[in-house]
Amino acid sequence: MTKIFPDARDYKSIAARIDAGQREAIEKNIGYQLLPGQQDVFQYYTMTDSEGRSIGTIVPSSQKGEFGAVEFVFGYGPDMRIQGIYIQRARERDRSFKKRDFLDLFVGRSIQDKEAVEKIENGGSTPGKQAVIRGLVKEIVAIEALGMAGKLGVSDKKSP
Amino acid sequence: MKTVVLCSEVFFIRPCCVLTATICHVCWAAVLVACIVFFAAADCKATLNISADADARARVASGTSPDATLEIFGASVRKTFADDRGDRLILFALFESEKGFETSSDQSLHEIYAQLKGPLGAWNLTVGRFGLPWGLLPGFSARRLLYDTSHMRVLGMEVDSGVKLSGVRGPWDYGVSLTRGYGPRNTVDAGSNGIATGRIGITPGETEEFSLGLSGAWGRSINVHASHHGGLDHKDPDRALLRSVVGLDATLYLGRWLIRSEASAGEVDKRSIRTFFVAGDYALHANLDLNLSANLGRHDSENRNEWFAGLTGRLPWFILRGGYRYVGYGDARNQLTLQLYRLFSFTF
Repeated sequence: MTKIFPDARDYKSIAARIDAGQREAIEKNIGYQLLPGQQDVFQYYTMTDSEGRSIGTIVPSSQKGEFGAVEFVFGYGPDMRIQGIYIQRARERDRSFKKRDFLDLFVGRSIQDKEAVEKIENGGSTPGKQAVIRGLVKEIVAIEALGMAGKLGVSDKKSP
Repeated sequence: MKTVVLCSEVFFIRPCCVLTATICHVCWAAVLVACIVFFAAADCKATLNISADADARARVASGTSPDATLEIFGASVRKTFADDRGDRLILFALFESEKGFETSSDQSLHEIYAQLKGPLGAWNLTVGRFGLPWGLLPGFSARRLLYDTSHMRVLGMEVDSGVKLSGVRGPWDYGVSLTRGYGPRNTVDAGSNGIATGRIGITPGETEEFSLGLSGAWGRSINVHASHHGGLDHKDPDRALLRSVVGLDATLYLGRWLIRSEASAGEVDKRSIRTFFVAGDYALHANLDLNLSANLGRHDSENRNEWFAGLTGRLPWFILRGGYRYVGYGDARNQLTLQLYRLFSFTF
């Protein structure tokens, strides 16, 4: 996480519940069904500075590629722009989606502009790139549906 | 040599057991105080995860009659508490029942611990019963797979009770533990058990495709499943064995391959031991993997080798695995196994 937010001093795990209406809206927007592990909960991390203030959000994502799941992490700042993205695990034949010249295409993009992200490299020229773009779009749509766009760490769960 | 071993046992291992017990008590007290502080804190936030999994298998082995069983049923709860700055306290418990629910000795609280987490996970103090910081264990377990790793031969167990300090700093991760040496079953005090285990690892580069680890363990521990995992033959399954071992592990993503390997060497019960484990998963399709593994061991001049080849299919609601395992010792040398596996997980 400090690859994306090097000034972060800690992080909080947040699990935001996705209700049936939100799930329907997300699936209608992206055009396919969410996988079983992604249907009910949106997991993200709020990065905090030494004073405990939120400085950004980290979202782990997983999208099916040609040979299994492509797992990646991206982060966005208070300006709702992507600050960084990197691949965690993947077993694709083509490795170009892991390279910085592809991943840097996302840096600086607004998470409130889904269409711009979809158009990167015309949707991706390899299965790995397509998985990253589709996965990022899915998370952007979920952030919008959960009302998180424009806020940081809003859906904190309070202890019972 | 015998004098050196005896002296090390008297001056280090036995006091180590007393030290381990003392450290455990102090750490439990510290964690309890931390819990009280957190629960009393007005801004304490929490997430709860409840999971359950079931591993059902049908097996045909040479020299034995076919059988089908609920190999493992597991249920776990994880509660994470955060203060204003970040996640701070994690409470976790995992209950497991092996071979159905037929005998009480096959059921255990496999893991139960409290973990105090430092900023960004740079340090974590864990007290209770937890996975040992050795080899591939921090990131991989073969308990739900159709082949074995070498951990049981080398350490006698994968989880143990005690205290652990671990963390991640940049590309480095580390873990060091002092534990009782009884594994997940025996929680009764006394005995001259006690084992120190440690690992340091590195995951260099941007893409996290390669990681390397160096481990060491020294002390006494029992063999939790002595007859099942190619361990040293001995008549008393609860006898603690003196272990002095080092290990090297590596994980590599190479195209469609995921390769895990671990090599260990040292002495167990005053007999030399060498082990080598390697497992490869090759993605044939998005939902289908070819699995290969070799688990090789040499105790003095005695070889104990196992080989495995199989497939894993990820179906919409289950994982289906099947494979052939050849065990180069004992009676049931040729084994065919089919597994149906399901994991349920809910986060609140």
